[in-house]
Amino acid sequence: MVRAIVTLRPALAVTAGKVAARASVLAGCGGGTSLPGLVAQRIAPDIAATLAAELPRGSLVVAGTNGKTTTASMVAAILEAAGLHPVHNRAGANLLRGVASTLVARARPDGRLHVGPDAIGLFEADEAALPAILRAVRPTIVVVTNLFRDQLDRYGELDVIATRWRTAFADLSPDATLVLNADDPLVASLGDDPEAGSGRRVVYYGLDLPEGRFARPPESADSIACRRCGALLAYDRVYYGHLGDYRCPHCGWARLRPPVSGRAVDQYGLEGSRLRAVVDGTDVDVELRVPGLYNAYNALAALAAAHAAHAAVPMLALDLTTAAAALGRVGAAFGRAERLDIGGHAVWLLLIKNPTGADEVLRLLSGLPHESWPLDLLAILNDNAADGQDVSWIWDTSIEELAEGGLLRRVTCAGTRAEDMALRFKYAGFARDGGDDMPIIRDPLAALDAAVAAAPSGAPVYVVATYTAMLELRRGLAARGVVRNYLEREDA
Amino acid sequence: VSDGLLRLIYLYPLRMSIYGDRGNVRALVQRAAWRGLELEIVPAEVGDSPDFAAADLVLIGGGEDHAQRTVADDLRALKGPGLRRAVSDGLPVLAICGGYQLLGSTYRPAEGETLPGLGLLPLHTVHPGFAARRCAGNIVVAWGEERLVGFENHGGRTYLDGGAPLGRVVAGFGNNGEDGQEGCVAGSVYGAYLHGPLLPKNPALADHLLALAARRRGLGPLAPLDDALESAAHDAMLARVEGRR
Repeated sequence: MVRAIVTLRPALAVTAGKVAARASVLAGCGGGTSLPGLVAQRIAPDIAATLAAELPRGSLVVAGTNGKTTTASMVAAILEAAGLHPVHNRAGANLLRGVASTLVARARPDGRLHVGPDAIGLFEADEAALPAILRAVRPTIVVVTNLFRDQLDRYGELDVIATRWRTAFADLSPDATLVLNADDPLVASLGDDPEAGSGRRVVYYGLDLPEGRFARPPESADSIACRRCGALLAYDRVYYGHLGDYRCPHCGWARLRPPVSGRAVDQYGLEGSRLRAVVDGTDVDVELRVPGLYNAYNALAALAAAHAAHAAVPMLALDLTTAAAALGRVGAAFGRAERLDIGGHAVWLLLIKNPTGADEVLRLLSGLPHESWPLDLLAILNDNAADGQDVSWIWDTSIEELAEGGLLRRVTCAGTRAEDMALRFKYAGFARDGGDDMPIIRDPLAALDAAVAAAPSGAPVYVVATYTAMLELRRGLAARGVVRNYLEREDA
Repeated sequence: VSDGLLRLIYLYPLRMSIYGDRGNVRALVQRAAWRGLELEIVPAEVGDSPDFAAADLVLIGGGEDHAQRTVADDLRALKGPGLRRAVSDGLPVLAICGGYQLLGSTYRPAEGETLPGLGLLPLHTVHPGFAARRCAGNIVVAWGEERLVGFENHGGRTYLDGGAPLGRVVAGFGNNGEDGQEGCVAGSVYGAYLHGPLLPKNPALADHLLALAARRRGLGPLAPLDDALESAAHDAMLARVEGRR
């Protein structure tokens, strides 16, 4: 009897999860991206592992502070182009229960996964949840984008995360491959740790541009100490944050030359960019529909993952031209340089989460052609759990570059911490006090209306917003029919 | 046109400025500039020997454990003697979080050996281990008639050894979450767990430190500024935290 219940457990879990999903949608609680998994895990704690083990082509996991969602979308596009069918946790459902929900949605009532022979798991993992997700899905490939300081109140310090990851990587299957960013000293060091097991296959990717953007990392950079001896690293070039070509002047530890390498990146404003890459000696040109150097990194991570998958995934046939074409089909993920049209104005939605990511977004704006200046900006700062309760990171961003350069016409501040945002712009040199050029309107949608109404005829409005602020804004715009609801779109 | 030049030594900006601590520097620079004073920033990293006798203000922020260990040695051996002399001469110092811990007598981290501190503040700090709850969240502190608002996020628990706290905890954890005290003041040395950062939303404390620095240069009282936006940000947090109690 006990035995019967144990074997029935996955079936019960799947059924309960599916009921929860339906109830969640009916109750208007969104697309059910985490509740089904949560319910299923209550009944069968190992449900994610049980179902993931049935994926015929194994799994890939994408982790890192910034770029997870875009990188995972890019990997998905490449896998699809190679004829595979990714089972992909979308909508930022990147905790273990999100992975479980994704798998439950693809399972039959008898508790078995219902997928074709070309199904492959593709899971984006939250920093804190990564060890548990790795234990559950036993991936053949783990892609790491970068590690930046992000929500200390939630994740803890970078060193603590890296230490937990190192331990988790050591427990991966011996034939699993790590795909690591060579330009991020902390991430790169995860590949050369002797404790991670000798013989672990690592594919590095990075940029080798003719010149860096900076001679040294900004003061706010994180991993500037040598991972071996603790001395400050010396950089030959810096691309952004602490990403660049580094070496330790004290012990000689240095960046490896990555086999997957970006040699040139040309920007087309916020519309896209062109990446010239080399993959193991073969040149490939990629036209990206997403802007910024950070998206060039995401594309390189995806190419490196594809390169690694070539060996790791049975029968995966992939040529670089196909992969490049697939990358070119990936549009902006939720709120990442997404363009809307509202009342004759282009409205650009730009998600900001942490200082390094925000700086790259600000750099996109300050890099716009001169005729775009001065800009109309809407800055929305929330401090809900998913944004991080601690908003002090805004003081680590380079808002001065925009504010002091006279690049801003008007800054509307919104969100639960609108006053903090306004204060940041004031001290950055934009306005002495919240005058006409810096109104504070807490409600994001009302603030957007005001910002659009105040913008000169036809002028774009640039919206930088934290995660829950972006959700809130999109929800409001969806109710007006301007955008489709995020969850609807993602679940479609 | 500047009619006065003040010098601030910013200790370890690369290793000890976790989460927005450089906003304190920005606040002081701007509040000086808006009064026609120039605040020169002298960054001092590991290995540097700044001239503390020629400084008017010193700032040190928080850092991760490994950074704290590297910095502790340098702070004691290289910077300690000069800083100690200048402090006995009234040099104002503001230390936040990890920097605050290092100005005490000892810091016992979660792992590894106990770090001896500089002993400028009569306190010691103990990290109860990674399993213990971090003291993290919004915090309000009574500082005289003022209310200081900020965010705290520390594993270490600090205990004063007879010194005076900066203020009384109105909401949040403070030094150790037990005795209702937050921060420490000894002469011209101020230590606190509040970041957020501390000074932009608490202009009274920013100006208090700036006035101490200006006085060392023989400059008169600071002209008042329009702090409507600072007050709005301060009061919004105060209302939220006090409403929640």
